[in-house]
Amino acid sequence: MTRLDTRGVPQGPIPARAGIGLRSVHHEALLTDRPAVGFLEAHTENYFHEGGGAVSALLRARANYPLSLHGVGLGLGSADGVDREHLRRVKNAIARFEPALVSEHACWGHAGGEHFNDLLPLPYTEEAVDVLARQVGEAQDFLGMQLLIENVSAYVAFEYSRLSEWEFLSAVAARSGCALLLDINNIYVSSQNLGLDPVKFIDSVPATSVREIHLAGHARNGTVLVDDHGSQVCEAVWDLYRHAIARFGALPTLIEWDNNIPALETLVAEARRAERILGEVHGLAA
Amino acid sequence: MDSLREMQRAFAAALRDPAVSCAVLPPANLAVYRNNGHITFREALEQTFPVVRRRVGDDYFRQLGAHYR
Repeated sequence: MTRLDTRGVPQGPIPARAGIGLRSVHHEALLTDRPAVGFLEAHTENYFHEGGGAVSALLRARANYPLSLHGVGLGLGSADGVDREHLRRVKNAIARFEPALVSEHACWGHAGGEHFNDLLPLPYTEEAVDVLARQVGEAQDFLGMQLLIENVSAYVAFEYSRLSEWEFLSAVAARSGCALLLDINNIYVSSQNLGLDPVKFIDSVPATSVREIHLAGHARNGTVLVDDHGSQVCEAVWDLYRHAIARFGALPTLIEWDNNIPALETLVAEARRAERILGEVHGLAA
Repeated sequence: MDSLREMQRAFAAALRDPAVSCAVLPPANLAVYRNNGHITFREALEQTFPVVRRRVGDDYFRQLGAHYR
């Protein structure tokens, strides 16, 4: 049971249930219908300003649901360093919305003073482990909490990478003390694009580091799978999800949908499907 | 040697300008990232200049955006 504080706002850890990504087109329906999803996840950068409709919608939704804040802009693997102003704003958002989880990506996003607003790929080298682990550590110290770091979709493999992706993530987690957020769709997309084995990936990640799972849809563009979050989760990804939670245990699981966003009911139905699988694998009431 | 910084500078230059290739990546693989950047840039212009967009129409606005870069 989720614990409520004296204001009636849910506190404590994110439950091992399925949640949905909070998108502005659903703000109203979410407040009116109050669907029984386990938690909400919001993109941190959308709530950097003081006021406005988005902030008040999140504060109202927060009164009904546990919250995870998911950053898409820090680019902690950027060799130029961490943007301190961005980090300060993340800290303000944490103080304001009191998320139970805060996550970011294993990527870079800015160079030479220019921000690309994308999750750009890192080579899997010792140098990149050093940079990412050091900056994840600095961010955790500044924010005063552990971060979850998510694997990104890859469209390129650097020839000079010396580590596998799971060795890279394991080393970053071990050195920085961060936890991992495994995006099963990203594992599938990267594996298909680069000719790797997604089951081997899931079986090789340090199991105790994984604290959350993401699920989403992707698109096919010729021979390339593109992680566009624009459709339902595909059957192959549902199968990998079942395999993943059998290994990692019952974990908070997020349904992400960012393009061609459907009615709230469709999103909630995807979350129900994840909860059914959680129930089947771990004998929990869905 | 700071190879990660050099890689990111080279990648960034290739993202900004399609005429620039990136030594560490084949051009075909850059297309996905270039396209993401293009969409972000276009959406930023659409949100910044909604009136211009309404006045000239979507097609023309997209062409303008492509040239503005």
